[in-house]
Amino acid sequence: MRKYHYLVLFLIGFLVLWPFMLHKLYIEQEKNTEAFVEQTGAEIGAEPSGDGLEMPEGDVLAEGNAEAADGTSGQGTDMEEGSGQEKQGTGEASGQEPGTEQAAEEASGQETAPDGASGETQENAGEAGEDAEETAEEIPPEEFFQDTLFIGDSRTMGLAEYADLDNAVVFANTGMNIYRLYSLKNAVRDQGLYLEDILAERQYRKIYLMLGINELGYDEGQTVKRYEEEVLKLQKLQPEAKIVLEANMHVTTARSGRDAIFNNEGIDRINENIRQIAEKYGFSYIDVNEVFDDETGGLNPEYTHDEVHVLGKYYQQWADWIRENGV
Amino acid sequence: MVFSSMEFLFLFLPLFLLVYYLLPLKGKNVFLFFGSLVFYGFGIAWNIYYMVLIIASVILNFLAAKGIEHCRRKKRIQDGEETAGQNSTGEKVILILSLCYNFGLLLFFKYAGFFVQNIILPIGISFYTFQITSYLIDVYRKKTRPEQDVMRLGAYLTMFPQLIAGPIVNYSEVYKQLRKRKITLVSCNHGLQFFTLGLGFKVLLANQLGNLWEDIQTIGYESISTPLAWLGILAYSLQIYFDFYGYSLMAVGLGKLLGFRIPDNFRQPYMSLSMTEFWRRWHITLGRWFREYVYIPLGGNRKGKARQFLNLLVVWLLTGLWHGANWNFIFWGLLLFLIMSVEKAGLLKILERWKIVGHLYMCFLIPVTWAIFAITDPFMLKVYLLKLFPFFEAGSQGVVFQGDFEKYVGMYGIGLLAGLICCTGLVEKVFIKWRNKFWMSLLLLIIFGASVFCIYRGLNDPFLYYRF
Repeated sequence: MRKYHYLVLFLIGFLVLWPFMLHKLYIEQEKNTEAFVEQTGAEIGAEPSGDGLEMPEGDVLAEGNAEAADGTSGQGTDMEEGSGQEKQGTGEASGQEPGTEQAAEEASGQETAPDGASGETQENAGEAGEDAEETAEEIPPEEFFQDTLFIGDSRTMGLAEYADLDNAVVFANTGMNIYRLYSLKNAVRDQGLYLEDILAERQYRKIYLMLGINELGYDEGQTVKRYEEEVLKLQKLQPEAKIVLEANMHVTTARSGRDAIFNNEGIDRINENIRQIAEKYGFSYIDVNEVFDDETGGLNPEYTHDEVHVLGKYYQQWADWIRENGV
Repeated sequence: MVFSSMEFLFLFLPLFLLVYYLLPLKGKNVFLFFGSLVFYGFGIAWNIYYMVLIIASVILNFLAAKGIEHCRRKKRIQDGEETAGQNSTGEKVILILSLCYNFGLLLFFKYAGFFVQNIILPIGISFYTFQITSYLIDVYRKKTRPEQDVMRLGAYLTMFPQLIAGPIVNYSEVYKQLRKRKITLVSCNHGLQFFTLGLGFKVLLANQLGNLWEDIQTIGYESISTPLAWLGILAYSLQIYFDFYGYSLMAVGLGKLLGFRIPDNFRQPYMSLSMTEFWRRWHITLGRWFREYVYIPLGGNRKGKARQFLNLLVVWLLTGLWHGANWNFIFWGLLLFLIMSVEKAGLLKILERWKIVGHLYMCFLIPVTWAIFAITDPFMLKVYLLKLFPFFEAGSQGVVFQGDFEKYVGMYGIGLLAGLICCTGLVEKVFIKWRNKFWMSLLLLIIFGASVFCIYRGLNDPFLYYRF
């Protein structure tokens, strides 16, 4: 017995787990396992499981990887490199130009741009509606993000990390959603703060809000209702702030097609709901997808590796676009 | 289907073992053959062509070996014992034709990717091609007798523990066990222990560390800092090791459960003092194959120094190509050849004399060679290498998030540390020494439970989570 008690223990444990796992497997098959396996690959898929863990992103990606890796790397080094290479290749082909452009833009943003860019800002502000006019007109681009607060999920996190937002305040975390706005901590810049603290700290001039993709698993009506409530609450807490609702960025069309929940149809639906909320209460609404979409209406695969987030070097384009739009 | 999946752990394996243990020996081999084909079927999404391919491999090579035997017998009758040492023309023709068939298919699937986009390598073809050719060559060399039962040969080639990721088992290693095997409670216990350990390495270490590498792809190489580039390649080095090592350990464990002794594939390679030593301890069965069937037939080190270096060059180019049809693998193979040539020319003595120098040298070379291995696109590889060594290009392009290193150390620090500790062989020592202790059993049970939990969560339906 001493020589094989692991076997005995294992069998006992296994027999206890087995019916449960078989049941689980059975259910998974019923619901078409594959879609879900794919889903959990993305940050967005499994975020709710990140609760109480320090690094939700890590966990979540782990799961995705477990599946993705299992598909191919089970063979040890005999990997099928084809698809990976393809992705990197195309990513690079386009990578060069925008990268340098960006650098130039960045440099000019600080020194030479004021005249040129402020002209643009004013022009666009005209189009953007009455709301925008008063604020945008007076503000030179280098102060554009003065007293500004960004609220968002991992995409906004990337924006804070890889784009120049001057000294805007950012409140974002991987897996942030409208339901967890006050229960998740900040994961960029002033880390560890709750939204409550950040809002109490001072009065902001502008608040950008990009949320909605992580809510796709929830009941839609519920989410829209909650979103509306949260936006109104935000306005109440920050009466001076001009609130800008951002449309959620698409995922690639390929990714969208593989996913029963986190797809562009869902994103478009939530975006439309957000747009209606903006209309109803006179908030501004901006849609960055015009910058990153390809002709199929999904995130351009050349801008991304994981098909959900743009590569680090493209975040500056997003920030510049916000500046140019003047809202 | 891979070992670290719910389907394998809770459906295939228990059902397979249940039937397997109840069958008599003859039935065991047949069942192992067909069961493994079912296992393979899951892996290739029931692609009928790939299934035909592997069955054809068994049947054709079975016939080829029989053919060689037949020619040999005929020759012996004709010539008597005089020329018994030599292989007849018939034997040669059969050997060459069947080697052409085996390697031709392998080359076709490996290189088709160069020209056509949508051809996917049939899973495991690199492994089973090498395994079946080793059998055939051994028959030709009279190192082993040809198998008379096609089911037994099928069981040898397709046996699911090693089918899709090795180790590459020689036929002579399992010759006896195919005919007579002893399965005891103790051997099953050991098998399960190895399996659990391997599963833990794969799921708890490799998969977690793989995320860091994946995160770096998501950011894009242009936008990472130099420290993060090093952290990333460290994570990749650990991931590829624990992925592959874990898989090999699981294969050994499953082999024991079935009554086979599958050879070890890794011996703490990251503790090596030189590249030469590293490749004696990393993917041992592959190195063994190349030595046995390429290096030594080419003359090995018996035909002078110049010829030896040439032979090494051939072996390392082929090793590079075996890993994938991409230019970076050729470059990688060449680099390994160069490093080992320098070592053979004298560096080895220094490295082995001052161990600390050897370890530092390997601490540098292991991640750098893996970077070349990992990044298949030459342009991206250049970007990454410039991130690793920023001296060559002043002022790196792209926006870099300055706090990225701290951020990812915070996220993955514990995993990286655990990985580094597990590289040293400490875990294996502790395991071997106390493996019959009760607390060790409990510990392994926890590892198994944690692994299953991770796999389970990976599969989870997000809806279930969203509804609190």
